[in-house]
Amino acid sequence: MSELLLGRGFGEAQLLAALGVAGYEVQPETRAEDAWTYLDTQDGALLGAGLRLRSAGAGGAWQLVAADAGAVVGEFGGDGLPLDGGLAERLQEIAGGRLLVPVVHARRLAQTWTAVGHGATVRLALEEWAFHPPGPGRRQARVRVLTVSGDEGAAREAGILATTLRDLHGLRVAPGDHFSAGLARVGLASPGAPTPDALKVAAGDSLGTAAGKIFARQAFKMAANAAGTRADLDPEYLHDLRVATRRTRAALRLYRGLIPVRRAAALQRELSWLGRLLGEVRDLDVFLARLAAHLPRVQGVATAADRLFARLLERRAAARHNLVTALDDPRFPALVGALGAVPLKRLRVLREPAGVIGGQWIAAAAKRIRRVGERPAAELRPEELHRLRIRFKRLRYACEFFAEAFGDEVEETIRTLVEFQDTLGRHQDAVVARVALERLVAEVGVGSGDPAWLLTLGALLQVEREEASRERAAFVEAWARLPKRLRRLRRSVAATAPAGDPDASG
Amino acid sequence: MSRATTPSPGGGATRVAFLSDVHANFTALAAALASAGRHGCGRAVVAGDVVGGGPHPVEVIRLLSRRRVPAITGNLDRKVLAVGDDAVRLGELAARGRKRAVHAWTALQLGRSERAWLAALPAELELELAGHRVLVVHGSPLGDEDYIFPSITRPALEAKLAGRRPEVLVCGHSHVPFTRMVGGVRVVNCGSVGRPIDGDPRGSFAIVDCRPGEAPRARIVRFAFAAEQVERDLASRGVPPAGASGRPA
Repeated sequence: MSELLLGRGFGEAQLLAALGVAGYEVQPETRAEDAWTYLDTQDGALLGAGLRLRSAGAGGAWQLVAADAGAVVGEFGGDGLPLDGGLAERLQEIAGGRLLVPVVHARRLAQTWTAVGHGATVRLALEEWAFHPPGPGRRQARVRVLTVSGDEGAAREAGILATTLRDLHGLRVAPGDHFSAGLARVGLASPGAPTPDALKVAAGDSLGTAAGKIFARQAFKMAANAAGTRADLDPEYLHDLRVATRRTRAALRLYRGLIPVRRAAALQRELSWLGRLLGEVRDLDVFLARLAAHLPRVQGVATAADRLFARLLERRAAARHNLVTALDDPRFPALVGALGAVPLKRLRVLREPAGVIGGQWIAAAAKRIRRVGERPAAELRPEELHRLRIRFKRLRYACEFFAEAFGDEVEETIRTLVEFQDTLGRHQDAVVARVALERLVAEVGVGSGDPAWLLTLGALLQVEREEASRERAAFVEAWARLPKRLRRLRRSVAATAPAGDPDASG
Repeated sequence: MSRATTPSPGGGATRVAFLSDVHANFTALAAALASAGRHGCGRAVVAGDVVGGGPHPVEVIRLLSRRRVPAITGNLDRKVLAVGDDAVRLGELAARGRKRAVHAWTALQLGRSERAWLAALPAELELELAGHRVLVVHGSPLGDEDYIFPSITRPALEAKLAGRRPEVLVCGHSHVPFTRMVGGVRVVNCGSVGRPIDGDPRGSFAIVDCRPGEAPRARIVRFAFAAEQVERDLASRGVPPAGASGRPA
């Protein structure tokens, strides 16, 4: 069986004409049309499990199909039919209660023919897919896949016909996954935006090659999460977009001295512009999620909670409007495009193995944490904890940039670093929430003279104080384990760095 | 032939693409014919080694046959025919993986009509293009395993021609493309469409322009083809490796 992609200017009519010229008599067999909306969680949990979920629309069927072959592995729902128990449970298990968001709409026209010639009967199936992204807009991409196959006796003839069509009419061999090809053509990444292998730093990469991959990877993540952020499908799209801008800023910082100063400054300026707009929405998302989580603890006291949420959602809508305007501005695609081609200087250094310099950078980032780590955690002031959190983040990003070059041990270390960073992050979130609540008290609570407001805000403030204190205690406990973790990181980086590099261990 | 971007010479002039050493590489042949069409060639002629070594013998023969492209036999075409058509014996030979395995594999692919087409090819062609005499051979006029390299001298050419006097001598076999005037004869080696070995990964063919009353002109054209795809086809179709000598076939 051969699968070929039909390009522009070669459709059904051209195919049938080409078959005639090649000496085949063609008979039409079947023709069917259908349309689906594909769904997955923001992080691509279903795709990660090798599945795609698709819905035929209101009242229509739902199908789970194998991501690799497109075969239907389960069907349920539609016209009031109950969900099949096993499938529903499996779906729940994979998606884990997370939102299912539309990935893409796809319409398919499927036709089959038999072609008789040269003593054999060959089957041809043409699937014409039209993909368009969720949300407004008329952007559409077509993928047309021709499958040429034959029974045992005709398999050879099918191969000959496929080669003839391929080479005489400039058809390409289909990559195997038409769905991903369609997503790519319509400008969407696969669910979860898995990093393409070409953008992963490899053990033998030079520092310059690694830089290209690191920046292009962040550009890919930014582009992949932009549509979901625009459409506000799941807050995690915005979060991932923001993380990509932060990682890019961290990468610019790491590569400072190797990027022309003006270009680096221009990129930092644009990233700062985007990061601020993303941060305004994200902070409110985090704040709203925290408040929602804390409400059961202040039940009966926080009687103005609805009004508080309404006010915060209003703010979020305004912040989101600014963000969407920015994402629709030519500045955004220009920034993403610029990250795909960051200029570099000092070629001699750039030719160095990424493992050597990357290892030095990781060691230096770890050293900055170690210096603070020599003090008892209980003595650290909140602003010091915040600075420490940023240092952890930089170390984590430096490790992540080169993780694939260093292998499993560094990836394991990253997981332990994330624990520290998360503890500090939760502490910081509590501090930020407390400050936000204090601002709200100043803005609306006191001035309104409304006791419900004051009680609500006061109760939530108390919860945030407790949270900050709890997270700080958790950090103090974790702090004792830090020196051991950092030593382990140093060892794993030094062990993987190419031989003869005395500085790799920092 | 596909659309022409270079106008064909008018006034009784003829522009012909001479292709050689396709070696069952349909991907390259399709690219060569498309390139020839873009160069305004109204005809194409194949100077031998249509099959042998490549993964697409049937596709190549069917296309040349369908388009009625004149062709001559090359040494490998001859060897493919020489291994016979006994499927059991060919299967054994192909599986043995020795020198003739690739010929046996090729012969196994051919149906009756492809074999008949190949067997009917002449050893050489004499053409008259716009009043000019053109002799098409595979190796040299002496035989399909003889070579004509760019270093050929006038006496050597005269010896190979053995008294014949074409105005244009077209050959292939060496896979080294060139065109030179040697003793008043325009010598054209087409190189190889399907298996270039001269350091340029692109295939080559020759374009010969003949106008009445003017000396024939010739040039070598290079074209790109998807060599990686051919490699994949070689692997997927289980083509035994060609002789390990590295010599052009």
